[in-house]
Amino acid sequence: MQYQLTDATLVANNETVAVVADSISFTEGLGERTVRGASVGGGRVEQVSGDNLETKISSLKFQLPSTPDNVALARSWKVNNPLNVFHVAGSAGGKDMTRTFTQASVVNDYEVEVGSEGNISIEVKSNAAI
Amino acid sequence: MKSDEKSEIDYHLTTPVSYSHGGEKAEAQFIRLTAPTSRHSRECAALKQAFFRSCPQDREANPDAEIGEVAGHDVIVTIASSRDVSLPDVIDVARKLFTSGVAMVDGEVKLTQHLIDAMSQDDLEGMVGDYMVGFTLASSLEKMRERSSPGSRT
Repeated sequence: MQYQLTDATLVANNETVAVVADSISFTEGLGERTVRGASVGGGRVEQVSGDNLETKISSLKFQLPSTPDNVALARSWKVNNPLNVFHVAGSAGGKDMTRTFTQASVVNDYEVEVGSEGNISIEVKSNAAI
Repeated sequence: MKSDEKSEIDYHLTTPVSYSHGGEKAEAQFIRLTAPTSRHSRECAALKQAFFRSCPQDREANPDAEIGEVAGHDVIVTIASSRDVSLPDVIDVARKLFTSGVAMVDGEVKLTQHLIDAMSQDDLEGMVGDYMVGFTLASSLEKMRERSSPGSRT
């Protein structure tokens, strides 16, 4: 039996951040690989593949509740681009998962929703997660 | 502040702590502790009071006993041995003090709640003891030493 990862801690620049539940997602930054078939005649093909190095960066997305503190926090990350470090740690069923995103930049011009359930959606790009 | 009093001391970690700095992960080697200001008076007063409440009672019976050098470890042992003072409360006060800006990781990054949680218990207690000896108790210990030195007695 396995357990779904449903809860994770987000640490940004050494500070634990309270995020909207179920809002964290990330990519490993291992990159995309292109695979093509090259014709060798006779209806046969030979596989030609290569890594798309442009995609070897990680993406981290999450949402913050729209509070004055979080608005200030998001702005501080944006100003600190690309010198942020984000760390995601979670555990389920007694097993741990951690990923660290170094040289991270907040890439989106995030929108601050004002309202009782307003959020700030943050999108980060960084070195490949370690 | 007297000229011989320090404005900062470095506590060298026995167990390095991982932290973020300049976009990268780094291993902290020491924590730079700076002298408190009146903004920290509540926490400093609590630490000072905890130490004096935990001082051995035989000090009252023998006030002339000479006081030697006091190390941070001695302060923690004194508090931990006391029936009147709670060490967990002292540690809680110290954590609040350290995360208020008086402690900088490797002298550069503010010690946050997250980082102090990552420190080993030995390092945290050692840092509390050193901070108390270096700052919150420094002047009191100095006066006690002066009074207890053989030359000061008539």
